[in-house]
Amino acid sequence: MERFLDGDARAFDALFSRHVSNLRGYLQRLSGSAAAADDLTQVTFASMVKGRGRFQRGAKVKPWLYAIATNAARDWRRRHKFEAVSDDGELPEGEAEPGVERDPGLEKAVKQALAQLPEAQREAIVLNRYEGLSFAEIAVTAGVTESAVKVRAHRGYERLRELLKGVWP
Amino acid sequence: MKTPEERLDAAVRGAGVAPRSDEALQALARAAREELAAHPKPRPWWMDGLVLLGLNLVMGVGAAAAMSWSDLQHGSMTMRSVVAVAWLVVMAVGSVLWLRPGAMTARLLVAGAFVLASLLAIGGASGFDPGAPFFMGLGCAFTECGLALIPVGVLLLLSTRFAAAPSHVFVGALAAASGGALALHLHCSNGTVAHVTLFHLLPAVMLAGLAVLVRRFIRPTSFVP
Repeated sequence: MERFLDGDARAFDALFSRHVSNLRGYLQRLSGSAAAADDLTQVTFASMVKGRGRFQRGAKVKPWLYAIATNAARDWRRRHKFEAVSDDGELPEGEAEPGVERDPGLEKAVKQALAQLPEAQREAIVLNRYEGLSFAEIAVTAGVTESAVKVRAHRGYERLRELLKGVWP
Repeated sequence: MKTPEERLDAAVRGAGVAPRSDEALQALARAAREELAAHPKPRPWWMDGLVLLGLNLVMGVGAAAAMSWSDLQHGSMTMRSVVAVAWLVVMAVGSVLWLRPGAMTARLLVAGAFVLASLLAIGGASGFDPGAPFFMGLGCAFTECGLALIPVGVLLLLSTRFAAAPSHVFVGALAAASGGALALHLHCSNGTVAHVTLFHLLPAVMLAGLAVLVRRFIRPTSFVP
């Protein structure tokens, strides 16, 4: 990160390669659209470069990067209606995980349920469950306290369980 | 046999993610690479703060020096000086700290300094009433807002360089309005608490609130926190 901050293009490439796939997945989960996720990923990395003077040296990169992505997604959502399904009206294909049995019905229900959650709860759940960020890291990302993130995630999971009644025991 | 938790985990991971090839992902870096090539050196966050500080000093101190001074508003010369220094501190520190990335601490500090300066201005007021109609106080409010207009405009422009939270814009605008408050503190002869509160302090808070509202409609050029 230090080398990237000083303008090293190879350091940027390394950061990009390490984070782009997960970050794009995160943005697709937040936006519900593959095309939007591509645009937002570009915007996120361009923002990272433009605004790297605001990065506090010594801080963790991942929460900072996800904070940028979250801000970009919020801006996008303000300007677009949230899309519960992909651009062509179909649920996008999921990432094939080796050895994992797919459950398309449940996946679709989860996606629709996530779309119904309040923005802050959805972000807390997606960052924690999908992206593996700790609550402390999410707190940095969201600019709130760790306990506030825990409350958001707890309420989000409660709501998710309600919404998935009948689909998920 | 998977547990319900494992089923949910798998569904959550699979829901709504379309994979992209490496080539497609690499294409997403184009804008960032161009930006990095064009600007290899980062711009430190406090640079914009110095720009605003310079502008606030020109407007606030410039107006204070240009306008006539009156001692009637103040209970004592000591309070006059203390309050003037308090406004200068809010203006100088706030011009830079509103931009500080990270936790709210810096912004709370600026807001606290503004509250303290306000309390000092109210507590140190002489109570002298020049006998002018109450609404004449609007002149003070307009002067303060007029002096803050350009700094707040510049602040809004600078705030588009990052994903400014309302608290960033609010305390930045308070700092910008403190220049006008300083000028009024030295120039205005009305020392009643009602006048100082309604026409010297309230306009600064209202201007800060208005700046937050306006900022909501401006799209940032970068989404860094």
